[in-house]
Amino acid sequence: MAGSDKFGVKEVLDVTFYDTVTGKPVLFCDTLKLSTLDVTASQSFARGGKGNPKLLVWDFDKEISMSVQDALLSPKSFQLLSGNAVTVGTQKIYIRQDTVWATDSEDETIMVDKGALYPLTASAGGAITLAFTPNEAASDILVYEATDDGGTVLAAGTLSGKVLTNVAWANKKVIAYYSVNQTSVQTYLITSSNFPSSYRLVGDTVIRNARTGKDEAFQLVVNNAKIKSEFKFEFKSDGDPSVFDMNLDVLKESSSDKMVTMSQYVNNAV
Amino acid sequence: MNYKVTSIQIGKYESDTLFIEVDKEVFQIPISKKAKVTKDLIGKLINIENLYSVPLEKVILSNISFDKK
Repeated sequence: MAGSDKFGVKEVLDVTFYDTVTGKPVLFCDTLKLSTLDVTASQSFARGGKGNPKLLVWDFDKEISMSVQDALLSPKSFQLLSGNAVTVGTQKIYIRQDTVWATDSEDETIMVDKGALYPLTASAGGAITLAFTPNEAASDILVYEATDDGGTVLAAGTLSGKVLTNVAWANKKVIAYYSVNQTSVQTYLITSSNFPSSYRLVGDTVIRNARTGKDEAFQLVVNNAKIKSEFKFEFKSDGDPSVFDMNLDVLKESSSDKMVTMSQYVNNAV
Repeated sequence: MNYKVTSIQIGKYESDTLFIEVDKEVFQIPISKKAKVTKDLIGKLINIENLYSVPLEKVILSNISFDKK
């Protein structure tokens, strides 16, 4: 590979995060949309003479930051961003039920919403069937007329299993508010006291040699990358799917002045 | 009809909940907080005329004696 070669860069990094203590990989991202390395520094000038021109310059405050943007979110990437482990277990789920639910035709262990064409309507005897067995006792399940959602709570009903009954509700369209404990829930936490850690970041991609037209391997290593605490989740109804940004501060290695090492190489059989 | 009270849960809003046995199944019956039910009711028989005309406004203890054993 000639030293004067020029290269075109048009490919995103695949990034692997390694635990800085154990050295083990903790996250592999191969669905990135963007991976950016940004190097900045400050300058201070000595000025003087007629017109106050710049005479001398000092560079300082070297700052390197990286940002990676993932098209997909995974429990592990959330774990790195939030500093909290993702847990799997029982979790309270809040329900606002305004339609009829039924068991899935293919899997009877799963409940599915039948949709807006099936509004939750009390029978002639005043009975409605909840989608799930509620956590709340009968007196704490809130039921509203569909035309007065969040307005005046209807008188509580008798509960037997999932059937909630009050003769006064007969033939009314209603909305029920309650909660249910679901098992095997993957829970993502954002807490006030936990923050993301530092990791070794290894980014792999290819760059294209302008002389040969062939791609050559390129690896970027940051041994001390601190994930920033700020992140954003977008839940929106239009436009492109939401992306997940991870911003990192590149810190100097403790044993040298190196911050980023980039290696362009050919995969020689060794 | 007479029903045995198996448990009581104090509610957050206008009523509390009586847990009663109906055909060996547990029913939850809202009862107005004005009735001021206490845990003393557990194990007793109460009389409810219409199970679904709720919330109950008061507890009518049954005249039938009840053996707590």
